[in-house]
Amino acid sequence: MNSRAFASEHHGTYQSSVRSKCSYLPILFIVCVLIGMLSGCAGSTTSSVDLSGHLLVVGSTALQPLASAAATLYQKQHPNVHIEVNGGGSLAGLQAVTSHKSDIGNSDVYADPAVYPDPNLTDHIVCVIPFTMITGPGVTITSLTRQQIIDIFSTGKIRNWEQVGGKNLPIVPVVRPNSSGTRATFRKYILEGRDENGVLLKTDSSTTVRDTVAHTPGAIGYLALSVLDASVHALAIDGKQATQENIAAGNYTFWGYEHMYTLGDDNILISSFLNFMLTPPVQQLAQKLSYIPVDAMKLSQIGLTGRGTGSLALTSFPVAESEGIRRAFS
Amino acid sequence: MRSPKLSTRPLAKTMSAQAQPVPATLHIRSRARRGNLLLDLPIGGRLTLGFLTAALIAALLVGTIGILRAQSLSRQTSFYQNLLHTNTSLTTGASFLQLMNTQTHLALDHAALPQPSQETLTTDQNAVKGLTTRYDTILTGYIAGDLLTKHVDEVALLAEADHTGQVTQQTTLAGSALRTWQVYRGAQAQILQDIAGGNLAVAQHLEQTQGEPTNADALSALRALILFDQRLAASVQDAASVEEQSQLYTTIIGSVLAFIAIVLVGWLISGTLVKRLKQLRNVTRAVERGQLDARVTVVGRDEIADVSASVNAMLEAILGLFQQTRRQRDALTNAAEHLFSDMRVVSAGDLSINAVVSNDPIGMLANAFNFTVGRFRRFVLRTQIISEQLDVISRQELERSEVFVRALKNQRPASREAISSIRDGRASSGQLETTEKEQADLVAQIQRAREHLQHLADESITQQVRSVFAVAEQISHTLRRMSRALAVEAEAYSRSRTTTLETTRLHVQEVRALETLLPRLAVELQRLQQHSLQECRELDAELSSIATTTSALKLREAQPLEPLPNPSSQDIARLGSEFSSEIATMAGQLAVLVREMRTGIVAFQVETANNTLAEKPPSSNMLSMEGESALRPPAITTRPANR
Repeated sequence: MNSRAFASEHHGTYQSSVRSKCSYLPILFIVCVLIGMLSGCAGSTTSSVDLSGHLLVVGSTALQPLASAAATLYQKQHPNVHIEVNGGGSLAGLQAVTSHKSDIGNSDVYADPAVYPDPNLTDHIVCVIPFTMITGPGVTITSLTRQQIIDIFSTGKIRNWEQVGGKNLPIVPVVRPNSSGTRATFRKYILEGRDENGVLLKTDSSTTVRDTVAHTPGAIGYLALSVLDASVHALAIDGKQATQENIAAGNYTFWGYEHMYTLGDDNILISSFLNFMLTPPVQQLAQKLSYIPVDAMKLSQIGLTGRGTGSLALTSFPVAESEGIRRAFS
Repeated sequence: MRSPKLSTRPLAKTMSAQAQPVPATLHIRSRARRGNLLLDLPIGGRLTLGFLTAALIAALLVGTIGILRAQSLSRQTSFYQNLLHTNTSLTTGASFLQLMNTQTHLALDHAALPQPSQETLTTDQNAVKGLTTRYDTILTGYIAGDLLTKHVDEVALLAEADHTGQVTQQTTLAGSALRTWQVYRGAQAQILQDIAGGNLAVAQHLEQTQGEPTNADALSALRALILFDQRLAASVQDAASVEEQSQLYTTIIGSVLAFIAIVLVGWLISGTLVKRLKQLRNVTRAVERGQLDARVTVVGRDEIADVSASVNAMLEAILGLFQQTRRQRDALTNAAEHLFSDMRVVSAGDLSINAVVSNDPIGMLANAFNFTVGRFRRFVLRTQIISEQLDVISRQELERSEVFVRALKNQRPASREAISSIRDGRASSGQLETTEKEQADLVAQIQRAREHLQHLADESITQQVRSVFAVAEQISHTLRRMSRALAVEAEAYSRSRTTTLETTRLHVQEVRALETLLPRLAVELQRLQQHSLQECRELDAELSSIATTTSALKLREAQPLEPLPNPSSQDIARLGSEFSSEIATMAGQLAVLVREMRTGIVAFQVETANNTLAEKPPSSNMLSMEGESALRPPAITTRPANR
């Protein structure tokens, strides 16, 4: 076809000057057809297949607001997809996903390889969740040190708000059940593994904690920043509030990664939704819901200061290397 | 008056036809002269250049595609190598973490023995510390060197597959591994401190509540990182396929572009050839149509330029020849017009014209014309002289005859008296009577002769001369037509040869008409000659009879007169003899004149007959033949006289 067109073009130039202008047309035509073919190919490869299906997301109540909002947003973009987001706690989520009861398991905590030995269990960190200490009515204290918190919750050395400079009011620590991911984080990063004593809640729900603390004078509890409202007071730890700046700078350690666990990555819908969770719209939404986007976290600052013994953490780092890391990520 | 118009109009037409196409040729010459270096190359070199350019384009395309392919392959290979390396080290790290946990447990167990061996405890602690250092090295090494953000080309590769989010994911996962590791490391350090301090129960509790969970967390986070690395391999695969596709597009687009470039090169090269060849063809076509001043614009220094220049030179040469021919034709036309006007003057009756003679064909025609006119003029002059002589002679004779008659009349009464006296005196009155009768007869005869003479002088000669003039006029008319034909022919000669044939045929027709007229003239002259001859004969006969009667009368009277010498009769006799002798001489003169005239006529006839004979051969070399015949000395009186 090309050679024939070329020949005709040549013929045209021999014919006359009037026809020689028309003889560019075959070449133009060929070029247009080829470009059209190329763009057609490119278009077919890049255009997304319209997804459809049903997704069940179960787990952490701390992540639930973001998961629900993201699911709504996702279903707007893909009308054929239905996503159901349920609570139940981090451990319930892990259980559900490992027993194929749900597609995605939300969790505030890591899945223990010993408990969930499935090698296909894949961790997707979607955001960082800051936790904060809250106090009930009648408490005027705005900040506690970590040792004071340990003394309140674990050792029982502090039992009245008077001991930390507040009013004469007995301290009522609200303790969350075992299945709570928030509690696990609290134990690992604040209590350093110590047991906690206090009013044990029957069900694990951030809102229950909030409501209980709000209605109990002198109560102290902890919850995710996403469920914080005006009915309770947020306490600073070591004078640092649970802000994104403090966490990213490593000055505030009471926070955790929010995980979405799946079994493998072979499902297009699941990986699409998980990728969607990391897209800027969802991350901005997370920030609006008091979460912290993952890319706000600075790797070199993570765990730089933690509990007292944590200061040892980076001491074995060669200074030059840590400097390099700092430069690379700042 | 019409003939000059007819002859000048086609001339003007041809002039205008030559003048018109001049503006059209400007278009051909005013082509923009482009300074094209290509045109200075010979065609072979240009073609070689074109092929080399095309080959270069193709080679560049193939080379670029190959380099791209090699680059992407090497990038993928290094990525895979990287992934393999990190995977190995991370897996080793995971086993280190598990070993750490086991070793801590072992240390706790050893410490829990009733009599713990200090050496074993130290060994355990050192083992845990060694593992910790190793794992720390692995993890910090990974974070410092193996993260995607450190490898720009790997990030670019992932960006091609639209997996940029994985860079953040990896950083986050590495952060989570680092954080859990630091928590576990803190707990482990605390446990080891407690063991060393002897707080075995605290250590055991811490191990249970913090050590193991944080170890599990660290392991989980590390496993997530390892799994992520594995997923990264799939992403690289994606990126490779995307890159392959993009390479396919690059290849196709490159091929299309190379095709277009090669076509453009070919078009450029062929354009330098075809366009100029077309221009050359346009010029030759224009010349074909008659635009002789069309010229090829010579651009460059190649073969086409050579051909164009030589075509231009050829056209110049042709144009020069053309102009030379036109000048010759103009000169011929001028000469023909001159000759033509001369002919018109001649045909109007003025035979004293001499046409200008040059050495071209028209000059030869003019020569022939001059010759013919000269002969005709001489003939006419001679005829005029002869007629005048005839007139004089006839008048003289008339006078003499009148004198003679008067003398006779005077003589008659005297003779009658003498006769009567003789009759009276002698007895010879009858003789006298007869003499008297004879005398009367003689007078009548003389009178008749005079009449004849008068007739000859007045009517017949003038009439005959007039008819000769009429024929001559016809001849001159024919000459006029011939001259017109000559003029046309002269022009036609300048124009083309085919028309020359036609005009020559016309010319020959004219000459033939002249030929038919000339016999008529000859016949007329012959008739005139015969008529005058007859008249002369009659006159001669009468004069001879008069002579005989007068001599008889004289003889008869001599006898009777002898006795009576009569002076008057003697006078009469003398007068009569004188008269008769005069008449005889006159007749002789007349005969001489008539012969002269006839010889003139005959010479003319013979000459024209020769001319027509000479013009009969093929008309192609007619002019030269005419010239020859005109130059040939006239053959006179080869034909025997009519007498």
